[in-house]
Amino acid sequence: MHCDNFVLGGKTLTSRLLIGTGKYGNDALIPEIAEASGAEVITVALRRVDMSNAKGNILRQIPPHMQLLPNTSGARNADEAVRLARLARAAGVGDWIKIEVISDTRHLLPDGYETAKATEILARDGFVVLPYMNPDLYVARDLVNAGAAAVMPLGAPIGSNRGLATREMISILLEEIELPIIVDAGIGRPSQACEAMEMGASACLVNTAIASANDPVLMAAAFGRAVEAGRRAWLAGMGRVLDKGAEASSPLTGFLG
Amino acid sequence: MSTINNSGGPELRFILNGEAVTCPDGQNLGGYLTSAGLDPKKVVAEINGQILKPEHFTDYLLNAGDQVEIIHFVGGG
Repeated sequence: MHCDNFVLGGKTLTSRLLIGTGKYGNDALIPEIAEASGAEVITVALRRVDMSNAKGNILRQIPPHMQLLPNTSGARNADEAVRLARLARAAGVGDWIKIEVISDTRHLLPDGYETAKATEILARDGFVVLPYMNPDLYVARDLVNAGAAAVMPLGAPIGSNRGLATREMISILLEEIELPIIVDAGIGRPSQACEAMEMGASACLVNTAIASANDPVLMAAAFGRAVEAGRRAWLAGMGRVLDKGAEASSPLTGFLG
Repeated sequence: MSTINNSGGPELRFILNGEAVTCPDGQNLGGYLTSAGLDPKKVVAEINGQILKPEHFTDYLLNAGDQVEIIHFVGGG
């Protein structure tokens, strides 16, 4: 079903949907969700082990062919993000890292300055750095200069399912930034992921919209297809829009007498 | 700072994930984690701010006052 490949961090991907592993009441669903979505990249977080109640390791639920993308959630500044990234790498899961630096706990908006600082340190250290960011052109340029492998602008605040609230700002990034743009956070419906792809985004990262669906496996499949449809539409080039009036699609001749 | 534990052997106190805990003197990190019911291959450690990879856990003898963080992967977006 796939059309064109997506090269990210030197890896060739056939799917342009990235998925998360958060908020599943039952982590045993993750293999099915991964398969239904077709995604090849999956995010995880790092936390202290609860020594009194150590649960099963989430990595056991992740199909071995998938690229693991640890995030630095919980980091409030660049130093904490760097520390988490290095711990993730020491765990032996590769060198991809999603930078997430957030000190605002109400809106969960990323700190662009600290994100760029962490990106620069980690890119220099050989990581494939995928920073979560506010779709601000200047921050995006800083991230390009800092050595990011892609930029990941939010569509709407994390976990909100409010869709492409930042559509206009993402359009500017699509126009100006050469790196892949992966729309992350806020996408609530497959149609919104499809729209991001129609606009020219390289990929979408979806977690909450799948995890909070009544049937997460079916929703994962829907997102996989929506992202694919949007990509195909972008490759096809949109048809023109008439300012007004109409234009018949069927011939206006040869009517019955 | 060693003290005497219930079985009579010396023990030491260190900080594990923010909580004060004790273990027998001479205990290595790998052994400690195994006795606590964890699979040492599934976690990563930071000791006094330095990362320690799982393959070195049994080489590391815990010291009194060590600040130990034991981290693992969890679900996240």
